[in-house]
Amino acid sequence: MHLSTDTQERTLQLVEAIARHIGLLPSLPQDPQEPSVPTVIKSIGTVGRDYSTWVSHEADLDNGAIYASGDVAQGEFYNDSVFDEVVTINGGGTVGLAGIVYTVPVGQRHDGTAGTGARIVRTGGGVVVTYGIADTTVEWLEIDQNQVALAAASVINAAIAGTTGLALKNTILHDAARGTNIAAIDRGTVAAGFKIYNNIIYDISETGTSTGFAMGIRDNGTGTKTIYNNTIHNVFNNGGSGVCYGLGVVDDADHIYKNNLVGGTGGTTTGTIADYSIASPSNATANRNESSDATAPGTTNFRSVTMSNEFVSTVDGSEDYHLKSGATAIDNGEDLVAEANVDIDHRDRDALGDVWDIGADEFVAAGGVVFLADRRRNSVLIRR
Amino acid sequence: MILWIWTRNDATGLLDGEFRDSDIGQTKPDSFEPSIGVQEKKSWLIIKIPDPPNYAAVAEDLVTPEYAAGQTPDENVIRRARRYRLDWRTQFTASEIAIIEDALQILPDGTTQAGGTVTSGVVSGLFTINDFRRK
Repeated sequence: MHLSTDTQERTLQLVEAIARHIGLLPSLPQDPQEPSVPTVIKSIGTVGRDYSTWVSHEADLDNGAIYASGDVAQGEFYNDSVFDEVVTINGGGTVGLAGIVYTVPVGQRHDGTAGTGARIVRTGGGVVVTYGIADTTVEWLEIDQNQVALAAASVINAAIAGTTGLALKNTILHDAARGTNIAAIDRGTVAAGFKIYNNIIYDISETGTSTGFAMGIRDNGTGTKTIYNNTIHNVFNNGGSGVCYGLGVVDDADHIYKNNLVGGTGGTTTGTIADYSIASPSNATANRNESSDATAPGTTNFRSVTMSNEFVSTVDGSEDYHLKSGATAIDNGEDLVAEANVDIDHRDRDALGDVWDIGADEFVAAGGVVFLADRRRNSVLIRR
Repeated sequence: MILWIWTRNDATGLLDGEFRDSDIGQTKPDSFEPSIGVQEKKSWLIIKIPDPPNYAAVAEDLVTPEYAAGQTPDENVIRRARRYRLDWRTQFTASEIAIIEDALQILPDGTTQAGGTVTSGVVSGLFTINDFRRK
């Protein structure tokens, strides 16, 4: 049968439309009036990638042969081999990047537990990630400090004056220790605008006899800060007299803490030990946080919860901080902003109509099947 | 030891204080076998030298900046160039240097004018650990 050129063209258009509709081809922009921000994606890994190290990718952010003003530079980590490096993200200012995103593609990400996706396992003690320029997002990595003593006070640090637009999402940070001040995530006194969403933090310990503090997240200073849906467990301060908080919060009006699940904070320090440093803030906004002690802040809060009833496993070396059936955290969270909607397993709480849970994981009952479409890669992830 | 040598200077308008021409960006042992990224080969001079004795300490020293993140969050991070440098230009011709400095090119496989060997963008046979200088 012979088809006219016009018919052939219409047929092709129809096939293309169907392919886009079912996700085999990427969707076209919905609003052609909306200017799109060019994103320059480069891979980071050790099997045929653009870069083999994070440091090399970061150092190229001002390379005018690669980026132009207004671009978003996106580095994508591949789980080819384990990374072991520290990076200060401060490039792109000369070129004029609109933003920097370090992420992990679907299929290369962790599954919410350690050792399952692209990760950094440290053999040295430096600050692993230092935010040094505005509009920088780091997400989906696992950072294992591997109990190697930190040489500085934090694993992730944002103590850069005036820095805004920072985000840390869906990461797993664990096994960090130091003989004095330590925090897995430290938002310093001067940085402004930091979003900390859906991270799992565990096994953070101060091991000295000093006055040093130990904190999972150390909020600090002024500037808008939103800390949503993080799971923090086993922050310890052993010896000395320093404080020990799972979530060290600040009682300022521009700080917001919601849906965080903190428990198991402890140690032998003579200083204060608490899951949250402020149980009843006067200025900060807090709601639907949960704790194993009596410090969870919020208009609605969930206190004195037994953590062994919340998580699949807290056994050292085989931690699994997914929620288990019957956990208090299930369906007790607040429905938050779209940026925090994707849980530690890449489950979109909003798209799937979930009642939000507390913490980084959104519980799915056994036997349930969820289809997560990744149109960019024309794939569908089936999760039970 | 495989080393990533930064090949840009202020004249190229690319620097913001973290790296300087001839700084060492990354070190890996000789046993580092996975592929080095294509863009990486364009942006850096990647050289291979014999692993020095006390490899771990040397590798760390070479990439340690003069100043780094503060010891407490209250301290500002001070970004400075590395403590050691490699005067790599002395071992290459002008045309080779032009390729190395061009972020869109990679040195071709084969021998360099000074007798080095380029294999998949990695230059060997030109330098040893003794060629690195304290700034």
